[in-house]
Amino acid sequence: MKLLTHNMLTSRAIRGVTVGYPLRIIAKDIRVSEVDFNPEYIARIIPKLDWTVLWKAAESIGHVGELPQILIEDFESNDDFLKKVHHVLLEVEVINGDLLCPESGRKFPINDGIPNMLLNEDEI
Amino acid sequence: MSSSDETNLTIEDLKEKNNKKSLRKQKRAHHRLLRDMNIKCSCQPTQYLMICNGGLVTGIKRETLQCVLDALISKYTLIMPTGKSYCFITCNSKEDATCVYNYIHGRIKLPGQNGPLYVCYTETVPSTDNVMSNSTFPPGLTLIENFITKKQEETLLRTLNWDECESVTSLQLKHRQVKHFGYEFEYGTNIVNPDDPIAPIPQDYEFLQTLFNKHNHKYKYDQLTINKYLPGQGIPPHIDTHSVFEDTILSLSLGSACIMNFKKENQNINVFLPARSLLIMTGEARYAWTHGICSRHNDVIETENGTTTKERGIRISFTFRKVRRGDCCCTFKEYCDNKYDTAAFVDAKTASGLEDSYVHKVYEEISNHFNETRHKQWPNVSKFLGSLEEGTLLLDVGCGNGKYLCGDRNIYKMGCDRSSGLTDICRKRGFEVLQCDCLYLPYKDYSVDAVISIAVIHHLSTRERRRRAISEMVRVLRPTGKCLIYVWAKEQRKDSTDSSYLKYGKKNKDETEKIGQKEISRERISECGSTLPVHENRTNFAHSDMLVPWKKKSGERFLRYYHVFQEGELAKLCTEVSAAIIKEVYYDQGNWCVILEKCIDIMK
Repeated sequence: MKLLTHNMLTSRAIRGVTVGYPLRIIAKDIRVSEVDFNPEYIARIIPKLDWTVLWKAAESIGHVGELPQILIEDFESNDDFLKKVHHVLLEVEVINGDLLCPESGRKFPINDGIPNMLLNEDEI
Repeated sequence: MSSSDETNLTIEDLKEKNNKKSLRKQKRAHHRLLRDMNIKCSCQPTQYLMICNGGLVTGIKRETLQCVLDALISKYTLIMPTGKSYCFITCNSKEDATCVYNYIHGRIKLPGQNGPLYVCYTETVPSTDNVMSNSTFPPGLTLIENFITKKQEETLLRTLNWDECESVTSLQLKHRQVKHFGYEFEYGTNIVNPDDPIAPIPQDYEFLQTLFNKHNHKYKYDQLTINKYLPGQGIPPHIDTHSVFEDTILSLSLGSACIMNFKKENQNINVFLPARSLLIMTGEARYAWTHGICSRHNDVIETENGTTTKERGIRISFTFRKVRRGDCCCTFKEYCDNKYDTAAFVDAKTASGLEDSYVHKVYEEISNHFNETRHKQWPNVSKFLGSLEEGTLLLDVGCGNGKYLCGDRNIYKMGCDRSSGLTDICRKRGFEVLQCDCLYLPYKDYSVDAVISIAVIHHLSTRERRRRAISEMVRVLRPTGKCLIYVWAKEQRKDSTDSSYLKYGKKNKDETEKIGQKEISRERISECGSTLPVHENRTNFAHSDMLVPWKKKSGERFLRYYHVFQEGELAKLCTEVSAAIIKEVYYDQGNWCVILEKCIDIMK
């Protein structure tokens, strides 16, 4: 699971949970691999992100690097910055671990990079 | 039957009667007989004889054999078992039998036969002919002999011109020629379209309706199918689709007589249909018994003398049916197609159990084989993906093996699927996936730019669940974001073109043969309190909800639940989802497809 995906995930489907966002990450294995960098692509994705959630997620798994806590202005033209975002969004992957519902504490296991977000019938 | 001259026999002047070929044939017959009837052949003469290649199924007439025998011996019993290629003769003495043996074996060739008759001695004979039980008809079946006069028959036959078929539809089926009036009968689905009448039943046949009325038939028949059967042609056993036609079905026989076979479970009744007779099928005979005609040149019939064969000539049948408006209310539910197509066939409670057994578990079982067979992207889905701009966040709901997740364009593609087998395959291919239920997508509202869901929601077994799945896809979309949904269409033939699903089936099998054999698939499976028909792959859909077999290479069969969508159904469902508008609805190779756009004004 990449942190870009994590930026969109919620556990709100659980009965009684009102927001369910962001999910906490308990990372057991993390893999960092190189992905081709395309600054324009990253620049187009940034406005769609919840920046704070991305930053906190990266920090919680120890891969925040030099990423600023607050999104900088004029990021479109800052290749150096875009590269850091690129790294956090696409190159860092949680391979094994858990996602935690912030309200109910329900664990969603991540195995081999695949989060299992299935809910039991009595949870919905 | 006194002289053999009348029977046109060929007496072969064989120098060696027991040459190698006939010995071999005798030996083969010995084995067959032992297996079939537990009767042993004898090397020494006995009073019993078997004519190895002179049985009813070879088309030999009792009269012909009697001609031959009458000329040789005075007293004998001829036993012709039905469905066998051989017959037996009980002679008065060994001497008589030897006489017959020496005269016939390897020497006599009967008209219509390829080679001479082969005879052998047996230790005994079967007790009697298998008497056919045509004394009782299936309940609800009536046969009126001489329903029309010879003159009327000739008049009717004169009206037919099989060469000229401009205004009416004439189909050269493998097994017979067919013409339809009133409504066209679609082979494959076995339905008629009540909203699309063709040329009405001609005036020439009006007098038949008058005759029917005289016999108290309540319907004004509006669909006529005329079948032409050449000798050797037949019609596979079938039940006329309940939901399509009313109760009483009439069939008038012209020309040659034939045997029609009725079957229900292990009951099997042959009904002899003479020329000019009217067959009336009502109630159980119409709803629960299959009827068919064997593709043969001869029929085995009962005469005063015993069982014999009768050659077929050209037979024309006029089948009158009344197209049903409304649901079938028969009491033969296990044979009825009607209830499956009516609204909700499972309730919300059983739906998830059904999907668990017939969708989720099956995909886990077949995921590897599924992966091997799913590579090519459908062109119109690729086109949709190609229209997305750089930086799009795309979600593929029910991504399967990830065939739409590949490609290196600058789109962030995420997939989700219920099956861990399939998400594992995606992961191995390097795709970003997670496991979830499409009714509960774990993504935030307004979080993705585009959604695709290809061949997924037809696996949901209630309307409400299908609607909810669409509603979930719309929920996660950003305003102006687009969603492309594909579902399997009930209509596998559109604008006179078969879908590739049907075409693929026809590549492998002769089309007309298929049409004939697949009049209705009878297999049903009960699960979670619902009974589901099992679909015959590569044929038109007879039902909206069914189980579709998936065959692994090993031959192992799995059944997947499908709800196939009728024209307009997908769009109607989408209109019930708020916050989205329909941009496009189209039909693509046996699928109904819709492109939705998330509304702007709904944003918080």
